[in-house]
Amino acid sequence: MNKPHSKTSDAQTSTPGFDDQLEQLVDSPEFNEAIDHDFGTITDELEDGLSRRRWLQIMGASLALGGISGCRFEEEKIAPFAFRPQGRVPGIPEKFASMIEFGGVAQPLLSTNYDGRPIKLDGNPNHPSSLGASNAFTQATILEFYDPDRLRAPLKTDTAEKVLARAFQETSSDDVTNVLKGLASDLSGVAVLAEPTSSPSMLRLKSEFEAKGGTWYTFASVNDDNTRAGAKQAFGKVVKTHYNLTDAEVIVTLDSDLLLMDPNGIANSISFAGGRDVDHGTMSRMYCVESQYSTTGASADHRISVRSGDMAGFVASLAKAIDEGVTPDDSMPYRDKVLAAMASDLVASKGKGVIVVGESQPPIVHALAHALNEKLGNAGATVTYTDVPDPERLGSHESLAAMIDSAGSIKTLIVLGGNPVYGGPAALDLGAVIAKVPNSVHVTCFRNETSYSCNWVSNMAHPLESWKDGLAADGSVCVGQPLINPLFGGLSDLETIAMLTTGEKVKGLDIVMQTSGLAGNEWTSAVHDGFIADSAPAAVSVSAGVPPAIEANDNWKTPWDGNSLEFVFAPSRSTYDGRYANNSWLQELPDFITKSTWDNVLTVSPMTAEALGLKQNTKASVTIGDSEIRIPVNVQPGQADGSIGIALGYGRTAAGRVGGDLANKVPTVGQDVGPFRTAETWNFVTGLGKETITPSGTKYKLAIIQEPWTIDDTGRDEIQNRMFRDASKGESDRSSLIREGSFESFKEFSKNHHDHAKASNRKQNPEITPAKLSKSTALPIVTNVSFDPHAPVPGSKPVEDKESEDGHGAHHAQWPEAFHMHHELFDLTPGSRLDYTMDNPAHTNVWGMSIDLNKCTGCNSCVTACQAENNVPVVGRAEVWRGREMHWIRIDRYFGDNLYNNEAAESDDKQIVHQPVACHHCENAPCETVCPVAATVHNREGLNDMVYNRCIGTRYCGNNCPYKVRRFNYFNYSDAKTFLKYPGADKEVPGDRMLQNLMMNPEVTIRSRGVMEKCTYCVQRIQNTKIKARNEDNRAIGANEITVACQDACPTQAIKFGDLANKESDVAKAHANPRAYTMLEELNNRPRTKYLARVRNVHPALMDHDDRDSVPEIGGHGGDHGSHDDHDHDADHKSGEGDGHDHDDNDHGHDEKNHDA
Amino acid sequence: MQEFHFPTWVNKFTLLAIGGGLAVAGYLATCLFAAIHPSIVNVGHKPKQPVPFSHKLHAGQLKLDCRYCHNTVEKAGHAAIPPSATCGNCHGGNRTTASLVDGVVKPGRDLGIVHAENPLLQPLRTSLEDPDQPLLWERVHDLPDFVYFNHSAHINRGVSCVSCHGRIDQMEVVQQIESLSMKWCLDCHRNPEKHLRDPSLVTQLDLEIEDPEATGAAIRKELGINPNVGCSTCHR
Repeated sequence: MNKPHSKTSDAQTSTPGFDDQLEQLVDSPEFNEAIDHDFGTITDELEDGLSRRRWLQIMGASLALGGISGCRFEEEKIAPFAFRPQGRVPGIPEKFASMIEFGGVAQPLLSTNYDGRPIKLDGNPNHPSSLGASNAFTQATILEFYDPDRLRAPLKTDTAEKVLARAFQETSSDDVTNVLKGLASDLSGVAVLAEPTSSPSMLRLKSEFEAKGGTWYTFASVNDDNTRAGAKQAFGKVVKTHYNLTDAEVIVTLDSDLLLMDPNGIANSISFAGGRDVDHGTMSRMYCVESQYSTTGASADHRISVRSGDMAGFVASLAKAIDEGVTPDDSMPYRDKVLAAMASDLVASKGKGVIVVGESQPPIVHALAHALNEKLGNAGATVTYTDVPDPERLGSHESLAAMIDSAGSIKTLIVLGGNPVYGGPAALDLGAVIAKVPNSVHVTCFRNETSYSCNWVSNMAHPLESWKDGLAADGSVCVGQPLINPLFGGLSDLETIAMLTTGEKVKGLDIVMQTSGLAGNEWTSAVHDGFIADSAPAAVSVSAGVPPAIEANDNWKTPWDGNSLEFVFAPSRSTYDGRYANNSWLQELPDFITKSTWDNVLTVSPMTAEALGLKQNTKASVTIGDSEIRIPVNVQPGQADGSIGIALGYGRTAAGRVGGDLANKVPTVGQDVGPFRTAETWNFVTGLGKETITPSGTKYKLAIIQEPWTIDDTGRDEIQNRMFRDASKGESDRSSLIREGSFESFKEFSKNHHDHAKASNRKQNPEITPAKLSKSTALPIVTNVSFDPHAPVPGSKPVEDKESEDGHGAHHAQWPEAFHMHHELFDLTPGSRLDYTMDNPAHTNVWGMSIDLNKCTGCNSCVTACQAENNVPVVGRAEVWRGREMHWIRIDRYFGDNLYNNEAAESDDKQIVHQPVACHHCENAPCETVCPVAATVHNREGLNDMVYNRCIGTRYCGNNCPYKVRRFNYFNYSDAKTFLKYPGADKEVPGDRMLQNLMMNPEVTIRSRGVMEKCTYCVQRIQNTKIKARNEDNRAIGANEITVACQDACPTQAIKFGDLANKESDVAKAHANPRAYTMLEELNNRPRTKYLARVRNVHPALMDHDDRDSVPEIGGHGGDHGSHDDHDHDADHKSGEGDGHDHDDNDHGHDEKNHDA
Repeated sequence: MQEFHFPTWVNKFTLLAIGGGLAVAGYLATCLFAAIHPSIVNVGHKPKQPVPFSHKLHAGQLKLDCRYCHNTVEKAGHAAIPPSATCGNCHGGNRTTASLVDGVVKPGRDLGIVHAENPLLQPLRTSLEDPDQPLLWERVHDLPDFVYFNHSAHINRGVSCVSCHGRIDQMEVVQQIESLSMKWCLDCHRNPEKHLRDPSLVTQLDLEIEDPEATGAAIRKELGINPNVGCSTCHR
């Protein structure tokens, strides 16, 4: 007993811990399919109808041809330069600083160019707003750059047919430039519709253009209008707000995804991570109030869900609570207590707090937050303001309205980039408006929905091919050099506007250089650095004046009425506003919370789903106004009841062969929610009734990467076991996948850990309590663990407490337990036990990795960075569904109930932990022992090498890997055409393949069919650095010289990599960190990757039990349970009773079965 | 029913049949071996190059150092075929010194007048005049794409060019002399001594070393050479 789940062979028995849905599925065809999820099944049919027989035919034919061509490799030609550029060494990558703009903010870049072509984009390590980090969008831009769907020539159409049926024909670039040049003489009837930009050059050209009589409109589907309007309302002028999260002690975010979807997200993440340096005693406390889950909410210490429509009332209540000096007390209901804790924290840390409001909230809420920040003394300290370059710019909707008002007088419309027809308000029918303009030119890299309304489509040079500039998150001026000559010619956006105003071709270089005002060495160093040094604007002092009056109300804490609904339209974490819809890396990137790919989903809270009759993996029909879409449902715990989220950016009808292209019969991906949005309800719409959604009952299997069920009943039980162990039966909790604890306990531990060796009484050891299992959804659970330092590791010999004997210092103490294994592994003193690194006396390097769960926000940068670095293919929707995704690193996300507060645990407010998992490079690797052909073996530096050429594809290694990090290439995934992985893959022609080959990293083998692959710890970087160091006079490799791709990209620097034998390296220090633990330690795999436990800075008033007192005696009992929430949860292992036991008193039958067993 | 028995005269063919079968199998195995073994398929590969460049003349008689042309060999994985401009230094006439002034080619000084108008060097002159038409050399030493060999790692450790490429300075037309098979690589990685010499002498192809084993062992000790034999050393 005392386990959450019994092992039962009776599949029909109700198994608690998972929701009803699963129980019904057991032994159903759907369940059997789910069982196959992990390694998939060999199916007879490939999606899209390529049968196995056909495959054999193709294979046979290629074999025969192969035989004819002989056994030698294909003869290769070498084409050296006629004149080799100075400094160029063939085969040595070069790095160039540059930038691209994302959401109107320049993202500083460092591009890796191989033989002259960019193959990887990273953040600029020298720029303070990047420090080398980048987001998934930046990483995936390299795929967009080599997208075969890019326009290769200008297009023109003379037909005035219906939009989306227009016939285009390719034309010469002279035609388009002549059109542009012809306009220059008289700009009075010429209008430009562009996206908002911070580019100084573009703003300069814009004012020149306007001075000559042209009109400039701006529109972006995802914009910062509310933020700007809020600043204007508060301060009387538009300013940009900067948050210093490093120095902030209290952070309150309100419907804001400040760490990921904010265009300043990288800078914010860096700053946030700086304030979460728990090992040095710095730990901010973040409260997050939001309707949908954001990465920010998942990283918060306290999160409550409030409908977006009720946020204003919440902020007003917060303001009131601050005024009244409310402090939390036990008589308050939970939500009031959180508000009181938030308010009292903010008051207590005056000048060290931050209140952030998200873009979705109306300006008045922003204004109130500004007033609060000022009142609390945060303004000027942790919150600073700078002037914006374009304070007079109208909001997107005002600008569009102005354009439509004067549409009759526009003779020529230049649509500069963007896609207003897709992203614009449906009610305005921008497509028809643009089509009515006599002469229109769309300047774009890709033909899209807007192109079909225009007479001309000019093939714009990609931003990576052109000179550009922009303002980074901190306001400093970035200068971007082209990384390659334009692949398909074309003018850049700057050159296009310059041609309009001057009538001549002006070089982008001259435009940007002129704007910068620099010359000579200063200019050269700005180009070299990628930004102009010390160009960040000084903070301005602004006064918020009288706070706007918003009526405080209680809507945010009253339970949902069960009827009224709100819809929240947030940018997609994969396609943003739809601009990345044709990017297969991003389409296949699992959403950080739903883990779904290749779709947008309707997310609802469990209670709302029940009220509306919605079920996971079915479709629902949504009708707002005259528009209807049918969209798959994802039941999402932790979402505000009555709040429904749908991501923007899907349902593109003219994106290309990945994202959908109806004109070429490529189906769309996901559903377009654009028709639901009006200027008034741009970010969310409230006050809708239940009738808006009707469950259609259509089954629809989402391509979700992390599934609640893994192998079968036994496997499922085992997962539960791994999450939770019963100390009373001598089982250790060390097997926990996720560990976390409160900051209080960690502080206490840090204070005492020098005495750790003496701490034989485990009552003196810090808390960490068992988690309850959440039943409300069938999702993996966070566990919090009760540590008993003397419990034996299951399946292994009990480890003696050697610490006091062997003289190893207290730095080996582990929080929360004395953990002896790791210094045995990495103690490299002679005579210590051998490990793989020790069998050769010449060894120097012991590669290892650490991942700090306290810093990981689950932002997916690492996943995309790995994909770019290691030539990881995409597999397409159908294959993801079969569990065949190829990502070498995945991010598991675990939901858990609140571990520190009983009341909170009963609500649907979940706690989330993200856990990136890649190959752990176990020293005792289970995969290696089962390979019949020794295709996966250890090298002497401890790397678990995968030898593709030896692999015969038995998949034994994948089956034996407890971490499930091995990926099998079922079909030739790296070849889009033979394997129809995305909707329009059959449209590929040989030249497209050549184009995409340019993007591949030549340092990494492109894997073929039938071969296992997995994370290599970026072995190509290790080897190249080793060779470089030895060439440079045999010097030692620097402590942190080698970085891996995921580490480079990580905005919070949660990932460290390096040599464990070098005590100076970050990774060695991290491994010695008391928070360090290995996953599934009891298997004795001895992984080289360690995780650092998550720390939650819980407000004392919101921690309703002291975990440390509840650590059980061995074999003892933790006492009785408190109240139980019996409607929805069955496993009430409240942390208050945290005793390492799971008394599942909601399911007695279950216990009995265990007795029987 | 009467069972069928082979008549006894068949017996004398049994041996023949077995022997014949073995012979055919042996023949096929030999064919397969011959068709795929690197030492047979690769050694002696001697493709015709676009210009009849003679290493025997340049490296042997004129004693040009290998690194005059293959100048990235100490820094990079690739030894790099030299750009046409390197050839043009001697053979390009005034083409390497020409400069582009306002879109017009301005002839430079006549520097490389050796065989400057030799018809056999026409492809070279073409590439110097039009950089879009590079010289297309045939690759002689072609490793599979899944092998990552690094010249600099070997050159800087004292492995001479001659160890893998043979006496290039005696070859009129370059050919492959070693199998470049994995076994061949591993033989040296396991016992590198006889291929090690002072790294400053690696391009002296005719260097005679008295006791290669002892010299190599000394070099190995001095430079701390301990070749990797792990798979990921070459396969990534």
